[in-house]
Amino acid sequence: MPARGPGEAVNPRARNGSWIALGLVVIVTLWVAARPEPGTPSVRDRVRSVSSELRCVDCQSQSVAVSSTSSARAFRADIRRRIEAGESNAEIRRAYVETYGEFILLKPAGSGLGVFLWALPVVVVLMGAGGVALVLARSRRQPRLTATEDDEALVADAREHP
Amino acid sequence: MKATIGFLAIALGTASAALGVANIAMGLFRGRPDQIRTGRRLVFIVLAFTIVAVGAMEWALLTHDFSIEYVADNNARATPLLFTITGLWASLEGSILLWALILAGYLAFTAHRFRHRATDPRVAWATLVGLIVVLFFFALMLGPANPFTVSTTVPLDGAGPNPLLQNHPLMAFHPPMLYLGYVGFTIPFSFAIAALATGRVGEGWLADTRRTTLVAWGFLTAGIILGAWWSYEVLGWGGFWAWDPVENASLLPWLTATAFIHSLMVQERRGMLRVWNLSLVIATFCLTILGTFLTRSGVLNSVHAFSDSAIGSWLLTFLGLVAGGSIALIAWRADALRAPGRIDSAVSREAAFLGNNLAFAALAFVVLLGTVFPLLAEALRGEQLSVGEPYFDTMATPIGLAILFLMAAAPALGWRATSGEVLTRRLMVPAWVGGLTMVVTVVAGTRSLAAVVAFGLAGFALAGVARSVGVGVRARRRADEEGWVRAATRTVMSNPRLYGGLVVHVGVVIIAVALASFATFGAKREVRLERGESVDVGSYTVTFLGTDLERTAQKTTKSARLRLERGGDVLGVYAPSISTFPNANSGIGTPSVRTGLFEDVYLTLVSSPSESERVTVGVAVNSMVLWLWIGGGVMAAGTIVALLAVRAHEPRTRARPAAAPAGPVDDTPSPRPEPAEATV
Amino acid sequence: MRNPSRWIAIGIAAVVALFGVALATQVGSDPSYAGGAILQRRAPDFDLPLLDVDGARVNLTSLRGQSVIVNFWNSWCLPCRAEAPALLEFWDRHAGDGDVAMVGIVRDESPSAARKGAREDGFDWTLAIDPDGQAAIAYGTTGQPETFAISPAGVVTGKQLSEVSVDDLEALLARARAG
Repeated sequence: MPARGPGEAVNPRARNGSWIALGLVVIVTLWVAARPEPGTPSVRDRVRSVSSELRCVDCQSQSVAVSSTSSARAFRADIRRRIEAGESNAEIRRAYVETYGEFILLKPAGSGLGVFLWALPVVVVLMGAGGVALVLARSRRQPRLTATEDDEALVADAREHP
Repeated sequence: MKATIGFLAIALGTASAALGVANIAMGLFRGRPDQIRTGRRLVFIVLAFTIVAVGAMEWALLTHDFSIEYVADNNARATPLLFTITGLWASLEGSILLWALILAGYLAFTAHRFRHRATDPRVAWATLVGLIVVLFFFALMLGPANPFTVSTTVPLDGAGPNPLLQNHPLMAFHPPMLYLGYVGFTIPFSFAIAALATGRVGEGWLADTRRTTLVAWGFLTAGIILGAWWSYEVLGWGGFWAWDPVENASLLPWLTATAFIHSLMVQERRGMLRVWNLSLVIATFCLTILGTFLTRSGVLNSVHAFSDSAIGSWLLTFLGLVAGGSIALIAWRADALRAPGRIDSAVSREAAFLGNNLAFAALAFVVLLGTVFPLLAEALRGEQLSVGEPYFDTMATPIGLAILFLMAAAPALGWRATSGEVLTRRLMVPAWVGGLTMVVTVVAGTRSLAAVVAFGLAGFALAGVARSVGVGVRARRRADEEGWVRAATRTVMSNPRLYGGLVVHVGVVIIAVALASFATFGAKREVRLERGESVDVGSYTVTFLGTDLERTAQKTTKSARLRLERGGDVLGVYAPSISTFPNANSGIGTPSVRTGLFEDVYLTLVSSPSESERVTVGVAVNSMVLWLWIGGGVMAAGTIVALLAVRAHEPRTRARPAAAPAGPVDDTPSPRPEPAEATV
Repeated sequence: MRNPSRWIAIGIAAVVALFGVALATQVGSDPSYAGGAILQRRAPDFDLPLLDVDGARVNLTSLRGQSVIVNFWNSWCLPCRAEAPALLEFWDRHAGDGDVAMVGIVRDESPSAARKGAREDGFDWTLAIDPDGQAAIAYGTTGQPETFAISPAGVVTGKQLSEVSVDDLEALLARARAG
């Protein structure tokens, strides 16, 4: 893009048009990307997705999907068996919670104590954003300092007689 | 004998630190500069004793002196030399000793750097606080974490280090690098407390500690990247970041420190955000202590948590005192901390930095909440809950994208306000580059929304950096009529902080692209193979050739030979393995990785070969992992460039018509007395 | 508000103090997992090959009518080795009773290593291997040793997720016999 001198302003209409066009491109692209893939997920993908939400019991905090312990492999085989028997992801998760308890889920449910885990960050972000907005609004009420003609004369004078 | 020397050194170090504290405190309260100077000299004495203690421990390790319990627990006759030396930080007591050494080193360096201002109350207070912290760590070594305890029965052979710590030479670098980062934040913390204690809460303490903060940040970044590299190359689970409590403990101070590095620029230029910056520095220091507490007290389960001794209560008490005391100090000085400046416009660099801080603070909050939530749930309701990768990924991804966006846009924003024309001129082309990048990735088949946005923002950010560097270099070339290289070097050196920061941003963008690619592309299979059988994963073919068994004094290793091919070309024979150590029970897997420029092939041996010569191997094709390490290197390079700013050559006031410095900025080092701060 | 910074600071101090108290209650506690709700539920069936006899199997249904002690173990975990004498003594006492069965299921170990360990320790009750790990999952095990007591009607009446003493085993048996 050719450098523009300080005096030349970009044509505001062209500038806005360019930003709007970019906005449209971005929105369309995001919409295309967000559309779900055709077809149903394969068994292997479902095993991967369910097992990535379950905690490996012999490890510290890894999921069953990535752990290489024998119990994790047993879990994956069991999940596969359940998927092939027609259970849904939610049913499988529930079955494991019944046997093991809530701790087997790596992503706590949104009910009970889990509410705090999901809600608190959102609350914090909103409060923080509110704080930032408050700071901005408060400073808007302050008068914007603009140079008066006397100030300009002073500066011009100083420039000529350093 | 070595234990006696070591323990004596620790005891004398404690005494010296206590004496130093007493001297400086008395000197400050009675107005006696000589006493301050004496106290300051004791810093070097403390360092000397710490070096002696470390020397004694290394000597004990190298001579396999198993009469010392720590050596018996972390070393064996068969342990190779490198891991014998690194045994110093193999477990709790030794790590505290290493912490004390690095802290004493930082304190001595700082004392030396400020030697001309030794009697300046703010420097004296900072030295005092530093000595109190080092005194605490020495007290730990005298009490619950004594590295030199002697056992009455001397075992014939030691237990050797944890097998996980013996697998790779990287273990030599990861903890010390991490500690150089953690411990370094003690210095800005001590200066922040000093500023509060003396009431001189202007920008002086920032100027004094800017370099140290950057150095500590650089080391911490390197330590975290090395940890991820080690996790990937050595631990063999196929990833590099598990949101493990200890990984999170190292990330938390990094997040607050990164926020601080940005918001200190707002304070330097506009005098704003004073309370916020003080809080960030104090929080960073507290998080380094909290991180130590979380990993050493046994409160959380993790790869690193190898002790649940009384050290937990000590650390927690210290943390409580620090946090409580700091908050009290800030409340006490609240009047002096009122900021003279105001934010003029939402489209300004100050506002962008505020946004940056909001994002980093939010991310830190999320990581902290997720890490301690299981703890709190158990304490408050007796419920057992897990918080793992799915939670952190869900929360961190939008925040990370917001940070990426700010990183791309902020350098184009001016201080105070930016007009629409300037914004367009600076951001239009990079924004279009970003948009077109998004189109290209979607056309290429990417369907993950987060990945597409990440790639687009990466393109936006890189184009923005290229534009601003290009404009600067071209202008200089035209003005001075010199070649590209010379113009580029001089441009960078004219403002190392800015260009160093831009290089670090490039490193971050590279890492973001690598993360997005890793999460979106790639393939993974686990298969059982007979000898001679092959499997196809991605564009690669893996053939099982046979197994090998190797026995050394240190371990027994079973490995599987796998031939890797792509498109008919043989890329090599790789051998993932499982090792068993005589004193531990389960096997430790070691992956074999073929590192490619854009793709890695990650081979693991999942089950030990049975008698029937069938093995189960894991084959994963990982995308862009090499670029994570390259990005880390670029970040390190950018940090070094930013550190090259030599204060003496920087002009006192910049020749910019719009700049209105709010509050005098102290410049150091100069022996003349400090100017009074207008706002106190 | 006269001086908001002071109040904000006090508020933050209060939150930090609460946080510290919560953490302090956890220092030194052992974060072991309580496990799921298998108690008072039907014992999951298993049909597993024996460890030391080729071709033979053991399944839970065939043990209906007896009180069954199921012990998940392997030869490398330290608490498993520590509880071995207790298991031996317990079986010594009750092998002769017609209504008690004991099944040891290998968890997270290869059969050959487990065989060696069992032989060295002289385990003489029914030992089985769990090749797919399905029994371990069905009982909700998160490690070893874990011991379950099953009543003659096939209901899990007791469990212990740590190493057992002879007294523990006797208590488990008594509760299983009571049904």
